[in-house]
Amino acid sequence: MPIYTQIAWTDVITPEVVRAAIRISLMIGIGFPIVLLTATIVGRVLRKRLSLQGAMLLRKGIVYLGTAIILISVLYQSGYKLTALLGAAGIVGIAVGFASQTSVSNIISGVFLISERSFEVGDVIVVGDTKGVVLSIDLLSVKLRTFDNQFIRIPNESLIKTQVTNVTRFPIRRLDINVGVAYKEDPKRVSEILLDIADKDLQSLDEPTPLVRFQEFGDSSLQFLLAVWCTREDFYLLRSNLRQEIKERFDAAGIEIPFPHRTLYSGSATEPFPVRVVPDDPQQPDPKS
Amino acid sequence: MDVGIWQPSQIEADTRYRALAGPLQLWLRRAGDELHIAVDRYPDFDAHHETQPLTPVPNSQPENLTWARWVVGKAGDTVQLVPTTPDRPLVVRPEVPLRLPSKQEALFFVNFPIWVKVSAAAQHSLTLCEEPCIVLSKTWFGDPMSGALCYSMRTRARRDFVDIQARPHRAVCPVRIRNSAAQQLDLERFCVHVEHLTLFQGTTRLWTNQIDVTFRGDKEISQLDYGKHPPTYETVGEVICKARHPVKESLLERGLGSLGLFADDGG
Repeated sequence: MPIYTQIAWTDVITPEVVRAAIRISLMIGIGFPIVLLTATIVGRVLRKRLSLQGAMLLRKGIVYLGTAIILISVLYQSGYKLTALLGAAGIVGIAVGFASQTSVSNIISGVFLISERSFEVGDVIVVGDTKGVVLSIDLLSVKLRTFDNQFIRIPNESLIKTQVTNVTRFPIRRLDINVGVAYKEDPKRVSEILLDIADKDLQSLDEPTPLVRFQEFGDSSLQFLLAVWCTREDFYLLRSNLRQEIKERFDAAGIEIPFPHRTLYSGSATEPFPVRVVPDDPQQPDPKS
Repeated sequence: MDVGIWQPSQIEADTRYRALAGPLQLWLRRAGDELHIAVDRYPDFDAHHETQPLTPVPNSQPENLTWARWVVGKAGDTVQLVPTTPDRPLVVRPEVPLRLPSKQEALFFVNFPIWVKVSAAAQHSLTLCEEPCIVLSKTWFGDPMSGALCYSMRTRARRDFVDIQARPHRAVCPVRIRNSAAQQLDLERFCVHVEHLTLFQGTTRLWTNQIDVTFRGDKEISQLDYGKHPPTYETVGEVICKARHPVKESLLERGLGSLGLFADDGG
């Protein structure tokens, strides 16, 4: 007796199977483009009413939901019993859960990041040593573009646990510039010049009022702080311009910005030690003689 | 008041023109279907008050002019300069802080520099650019977390407009402030939304419609009413420039107040 029976291909590929295959192909071939088109249209229509991040989330939500519906429909058309599948999924889910703890943590962290709204797409954030523009807040990670055009992916889990600075959250920022001048300079004159520089700069805001503070008696200089407010867009330009202007005005006024230095004394308030350079080779003539 | 500067001018090709509006110098030339415009300003803006319409100056041009080009086609035959209000609100700070007791009101005249709009074609239908006669510094009105970017201006807050020297590159805005609160109003600054103001040609100067502000207390929002008619302090003619953003109803805004959130010791 034969162990097996020859199976004709017509026994396998029955008209029902062909019809199901056609239905599945149509579902995939038409369904996916419709889902993508719907997501695009909805995103464009609601672009003006939603933020960039909101529109992106909505598009992704439509795509994920549409994909899930198509997948379930395909499985149903294929004859799979979804109840059995869900049962198996439960067992598989436990196994996958153990294996994908980090991914699940990232997903949950992503949900919290979005709901907290500490930052949004388009904001500039600083995470550790990394500063960049937020390109997207995705399921598992946040994508940044740095100012030198590098692409950085930060897992959501590490963002939830780390300090994140949103540089562009508020419309104005305060620029702090520390300036050191020599001890011989007049602090009042230095303050007046710094305030005048801030007053004349077009990017510097009149209010909040710029301020100058005599911070401390430093090791090598008198330390001043010039604090000026500007819009977040003007921040970097103002920082460069103010430093340049401070240097030029101090040079014009004869105000010294000293290098760090140490003064040696042999005892109490004596003359500095004289320093004489001698050549290495005793046969060489002394350059000073 | 000489209003020739605001009349349309015929522009001949390949000829350099210059107009003056106080310290603002507008340079213009037509080359084919293009209009070239450059801007310069006298550094000492207090010393320059005259206006001059677009006048040919073939032999004169500062060395450091930066030209911008517009392709305007045949519309470049006619150019008109139009006075307009600044593109942002003005935060006006009296040189001497004012105090308005409860239930009192006062009328002030704020004298602010105008902008000049360069338009091609008839009825100034094609706006090319806008330039301020005087570049005002920027300031923030509101708290550091929200507010508005404005221009900053100090004023003597004159009580009579005849005390204000008529300048062709400035406009006068009457502001009436009523203190209906139980407390005294310490007026350190107020925000004038010039974008809601219409410019009128007066006998001696440019005017805007009046603003009526009712102060209801620090914790209440002030009511602002923008007059729909020309001011009546002198004979005022037609509208010379409509408001950038006309207002139909009165507004409830924080136009007055202090900025206590900015108290900062720099530490």
